[in-house]
Amino acid sequence: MSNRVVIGRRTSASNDRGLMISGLDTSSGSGTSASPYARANVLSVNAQNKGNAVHNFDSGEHVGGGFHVFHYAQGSLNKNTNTNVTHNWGKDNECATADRPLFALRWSYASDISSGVATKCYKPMDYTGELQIEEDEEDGQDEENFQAVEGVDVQHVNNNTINIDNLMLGDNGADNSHNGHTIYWALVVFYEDDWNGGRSI
Amino acid sequence: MGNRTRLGSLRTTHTVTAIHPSFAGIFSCTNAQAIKKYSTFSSNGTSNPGSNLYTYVTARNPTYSGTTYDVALNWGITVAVNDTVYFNWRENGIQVSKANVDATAGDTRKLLLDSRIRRRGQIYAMGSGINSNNAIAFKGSKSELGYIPLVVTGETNSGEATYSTGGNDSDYTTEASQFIFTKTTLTPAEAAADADNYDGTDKAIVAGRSDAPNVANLNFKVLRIPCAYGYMTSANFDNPTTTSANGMGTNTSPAVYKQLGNKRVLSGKLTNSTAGYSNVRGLYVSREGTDIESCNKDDFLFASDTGVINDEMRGEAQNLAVNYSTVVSSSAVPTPVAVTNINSSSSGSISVFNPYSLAPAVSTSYSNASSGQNSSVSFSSSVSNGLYSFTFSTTSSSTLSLTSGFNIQLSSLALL
Repeated sequence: MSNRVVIGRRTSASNDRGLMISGLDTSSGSGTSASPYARANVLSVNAQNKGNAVHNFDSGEHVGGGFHVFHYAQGSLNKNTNTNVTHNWGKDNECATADRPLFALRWSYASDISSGVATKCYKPMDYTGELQIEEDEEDGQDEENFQAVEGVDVQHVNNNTINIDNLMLGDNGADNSHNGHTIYWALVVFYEDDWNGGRSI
Repeated sequence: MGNRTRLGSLRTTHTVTAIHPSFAGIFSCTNAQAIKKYSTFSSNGTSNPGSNLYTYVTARNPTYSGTTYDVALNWGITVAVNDTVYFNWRENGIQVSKANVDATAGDTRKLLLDSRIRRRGQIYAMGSGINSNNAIAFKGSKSELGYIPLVVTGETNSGEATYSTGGNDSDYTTEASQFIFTKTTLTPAEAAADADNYDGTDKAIVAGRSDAPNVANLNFKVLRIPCAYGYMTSANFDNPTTTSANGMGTNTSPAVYKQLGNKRVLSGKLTNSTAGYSNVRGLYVSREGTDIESCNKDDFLFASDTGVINDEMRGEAQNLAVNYSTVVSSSAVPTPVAVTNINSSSSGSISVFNPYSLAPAVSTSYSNASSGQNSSVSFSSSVSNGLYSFTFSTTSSSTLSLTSGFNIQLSSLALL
């Protein structure tokens, strides 16, 4: 049976220190309860004496971060309104002024909410669908403009505060008839620095 | 070299830097980011101060008369500037740091595993290399989660897109990589509404990708982290609190909790009939207030893959560092953040080391903060013994920001 867990140094010739746990060796076994895949050997190293087996967890020097939840929040927003969520990540973590935390936002339509919880949710986005029908003099038809405008924007104001904006504008004043949507949002902020350029993951 | 891993007591050491002029028990100290609310306090590192006092942090960053202090204690314990003080998490556990970081400092931002935190990036299900617009039933035969989980996705066709829906003249979205998330499924979706029929309560997000770009090379990880309205509750996210005096001193106040006698960390062979495990091997950690040998699967903070496809413990979501060279050469802290500013006539670089025997899928892009992709920017890359180096340079008078477009799709460590 292969070694699965190392706490300390992987091998005497290796600089890897910390906690390493190997993943699976799918060349052996079938992934069933009766015949699980084998464990990869956590002591296996490459030419640089770095662990080269697939890992479930690796604290080697090539690993940049994980996902620890720092803050969570939820709420609802009427159309064309926004809210600031203060999570104090910058205040509670030693960080530079320009640093921002990684975060995830999901939102739902009102019709997705059942018994107070979401049954479906979506990622932030802005969307505009447009149609313009030109005037037809023979038919006496005027020019008509139709729009479908939906959007949920989220961005950090600073390293302590994130802004959520409901841009579900519906027809946006065009000739169709849609009053927009209220959204129900959920937010997770992580201890990890934002590696996604300010976009929600 | 600092300690990379510690097991047992999660105590941190600090020096008092400022005290409230009138109220005892309110002060600032060094390394305050390591202190969590409800951590216990000690002035000698071994016991609570006073007689029968159970002293802990009731507030972080309290503000008095315009001055913010790092901590407020539940008792008026007097400390002086330059005193050494100690904070200890209520239960023993495990902490693992990034390279070049001392785990005993307790700074979660620089830790890869901190058992004080209730929710972490444990993988419930995952997939990669998907080129289908069909729904993905990630639950399979696993037990259903009690919430809609956070699903982290990546695919080739992400970001801005223009297309045409039905009779529309044009459709535009800032994020083409849309999905419908439920407790059990991940369904590719698109924003697509016929504008002249968009009335009443019609919704733009619909299942499928009939108009927006197709799913291409999709990878996803389903994490044991609730992320949907209605599920963002203390019961789902916080460590347990109680007004019971169980495990504490005699002078207890509400909302503190210390339950003794639980096994939190197990390395080796685990049997947990509640979770359905018998003699599985690896490293396992339970959340505070629970025992790793009897807790539910959702109470696992950390687990190892059992090798059974239908099982729901698939390892950890981790990201590779993009500053590997400086981590090795100058003891930098590993970071996955690929944001670099390049002034005119200068260059910037990132480096990623992939030691694993699986070949990565690597792609790169960059953007200029002011004018999008810039022809004055030159880009070069090289690969040597698993080390990927990328260099950008510019001779323009503008400043180049390498931000989210600068992606290396090489983030998965828990590959199987």
